[in-house]
Amino acid sequence: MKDKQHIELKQASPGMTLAQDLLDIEGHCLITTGTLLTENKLACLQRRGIRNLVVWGAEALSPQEIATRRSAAQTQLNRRFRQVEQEPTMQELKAMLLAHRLEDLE
Amino acid sequence: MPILNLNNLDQKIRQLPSLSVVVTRLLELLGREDLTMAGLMSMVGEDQALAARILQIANSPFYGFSRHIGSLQDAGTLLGIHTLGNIITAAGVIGHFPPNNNDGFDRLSFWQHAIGVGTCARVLARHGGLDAEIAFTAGLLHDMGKLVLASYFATDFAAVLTWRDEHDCLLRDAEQTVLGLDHTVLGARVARHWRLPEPVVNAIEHHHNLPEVGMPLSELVHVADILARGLDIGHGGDDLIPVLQTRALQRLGLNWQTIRACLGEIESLNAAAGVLLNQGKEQR
Repeated sequence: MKDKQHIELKQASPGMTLAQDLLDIEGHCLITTGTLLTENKLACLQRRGIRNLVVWGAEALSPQEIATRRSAAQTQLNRRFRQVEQEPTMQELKAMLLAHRLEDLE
Repeated sequence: MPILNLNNLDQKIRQLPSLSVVVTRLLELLGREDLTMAGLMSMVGEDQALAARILQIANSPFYGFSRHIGSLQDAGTLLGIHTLGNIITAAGVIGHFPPNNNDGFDRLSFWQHAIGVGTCARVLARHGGLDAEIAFTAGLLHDMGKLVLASYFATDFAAVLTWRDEHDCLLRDAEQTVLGLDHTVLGARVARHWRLPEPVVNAIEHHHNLPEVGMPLSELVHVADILARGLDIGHGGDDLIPVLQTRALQRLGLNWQTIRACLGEIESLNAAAGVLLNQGKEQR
């Protein structure tokens, strides 16, 4: 399993794969998820002033590492929501946030 | 008896230091019918630090222009009056409360939370057909009252923080108990005194207590604040989260799917928005 890494453009190198759609300020898609980043594409992003992007990590996470991160995400949300657990809306919000956090660990 | 309370609120507010002369004049100008870009530019030019900050922001990936913007005139042309007005408002207030004060209240984490709320508000506004620029400003400044407390009523604020820690409650509940008022009331009064735009003032006042009458910007900031807390962006003085008012979601036409779809965009944009806190650094 791999994790998504939030990096600066200057840390990106050819051969990396985009893990999240790269959008401009209007929300228009510049490059889609799954695109292989080439020299040309990186230079183009540089010219557009893009500073940050999300790529797939080269290192696979161990099952223990994944379990640790899942547990940490759950604990953090439990703590944050500790006084509002009985509210259905807040349960739904918490579930959505947890799903979002865990998606990064697919 | 705390120094600040409902009885002396307006008097105390009048005694506070104002925003800088140039920012004050700019905010007055922005509210006028006869506002022109030329007039705005010439006034901004009188404050070199503000002008530099505007250029920095215009050149950041937050606005994503494909070429470097070298002059204030270019920035004005490319951004337009509406966006520029919002940048000036944001930069003006941040300049008054710098993020690097060492007074026991973590300013940097505070502004990270503020930027997070601004970013959430901006992205949700676009998806809901609302004005993204003013949404960002309102989100950024929604907790201004906390900075006023920390900066100018430090002893009272310390008592509030102690109460919060002893009772494991939201900051605003501690404020209400100790002072008889909370940061939304204080922040709105100060914002109005400083001539910030009225929709922003309302969002500052109502982002916790939503009014019965629809106030889209306040509802938006209400949702954005809770979302930013759930995403753990910065720290605005609470590690608790308030209850989300479902009527805000309904009135804004939002549901969990639309919000979930925005989260990636929010996190990316939030990283770019950090430029607002850069203090005089060279930007390329």
